[in-house]
Amino acid sequence: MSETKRIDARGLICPLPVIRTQDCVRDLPKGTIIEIIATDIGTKNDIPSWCRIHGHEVLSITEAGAPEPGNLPEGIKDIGENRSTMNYEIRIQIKLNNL
Amino acid sequence: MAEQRRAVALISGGLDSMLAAKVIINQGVKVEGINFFTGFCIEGHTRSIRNNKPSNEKKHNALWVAEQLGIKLRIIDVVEEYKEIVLNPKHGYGANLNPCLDCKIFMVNKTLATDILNNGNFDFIITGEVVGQRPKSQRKETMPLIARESEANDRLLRPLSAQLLPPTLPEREGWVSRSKLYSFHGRDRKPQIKLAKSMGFSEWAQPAGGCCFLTDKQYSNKLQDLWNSKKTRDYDFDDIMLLKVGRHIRPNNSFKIIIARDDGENRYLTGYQNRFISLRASSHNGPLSLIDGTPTDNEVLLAAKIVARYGQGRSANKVKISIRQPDGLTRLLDVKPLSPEHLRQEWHVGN
Repeated sequence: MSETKRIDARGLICPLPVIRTQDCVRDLPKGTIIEIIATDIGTKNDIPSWCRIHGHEVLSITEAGAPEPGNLPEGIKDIGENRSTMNYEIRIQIKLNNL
Repeated sequence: MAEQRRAVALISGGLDSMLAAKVIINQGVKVEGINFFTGFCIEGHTRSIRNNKPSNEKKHNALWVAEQLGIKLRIIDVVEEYKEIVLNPKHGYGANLNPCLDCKIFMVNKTLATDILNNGNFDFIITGEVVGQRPKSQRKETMPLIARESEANDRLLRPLSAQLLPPTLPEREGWVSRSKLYSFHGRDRKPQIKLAKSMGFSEWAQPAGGCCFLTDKQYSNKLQDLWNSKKTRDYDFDDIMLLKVGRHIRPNNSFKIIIARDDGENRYLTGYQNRFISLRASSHNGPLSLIDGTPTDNEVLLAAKIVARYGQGRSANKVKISIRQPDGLTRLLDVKPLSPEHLRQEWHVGN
């Protein structure tokens, strides 16, 4: 069984997590499992919506608190492009159906 | 049986583009949506950063529209390319720094290049444009100009106003029936709302034109202030995002203070603390604030007094302000909040 592919969309504001996911799945085979990690709460609706539109399956959604204000989540070293609410983290697992 | 034709629809998330796509879907054409992320989109910002009322569901309007229509949607990140449109619009700006005409030409051209010229997947392009609806971009004279300069020419169909415009390729070829298109014009929204109801839609996002920060006077003023202070007309992604957040107070050209207006903005600005000096009251509740620029010690002191004024200690004699450097080094400063008469009106950027 192939490994779960991970998309780190932490710090990205809507709709960038969807754009990252969309651009990542383009050449992946049916059945691939992807985990999207994000800090923008809008991702909670946007990724499932995007999955419904494209026929992919949402396997799980897990929400959790995140670091104290002032600390960037582990793995984010630079301010980079844009960030959102840092005290929240969401993980969404999806399965590609490539309809 | 005739070959099923394919159209790509520019979906903003507003009512007009939703209706335009639906009109064409109803004629048996296979439609897919395309949406552009310019960095100036209002909805992503307001949903993600500002505090939301429970009734204000956090959903991406274009994705939501695509779901209602049952079509696929691609969202294209054009932040970098879009700079040229904002900085050097060939056709100039509208009432604010909104380059609406160049924007529309850019988006149609991008769609043409992506979906018609390169892989030939689609036969024509649909937009929700309505003749006379927008003073800058949606006028009878601009419709052929957009078609021409985007190079889409007669592959660009505006279903809501098509009967007022010359027949396009899909009409002439019989891929769609011109008699089932519309002749909407002007700023009156009633025909669209009537059509939406007749199609079974009971919900839609705000009317067209309200989706871009560049049409907003305050935002445009802030962008102009940014250019003035940088002494160059340029921006990066974080610049334009931060212009959407907080009160901006510029006591002089070397620095400005960005003060969060609610908890959502507090959290958002937290993500920038490793890049900017940040201030927050520690003796009272108060907003997180950033200093953008290169302030002197005296200017940091002034910033602390201003920030104190926007917290619950505004009437106190002394407020303790925590001043954090980007590297995390933090010191405390006791200040007296700046009195209202000393906070000059002209320091408020955007008004």
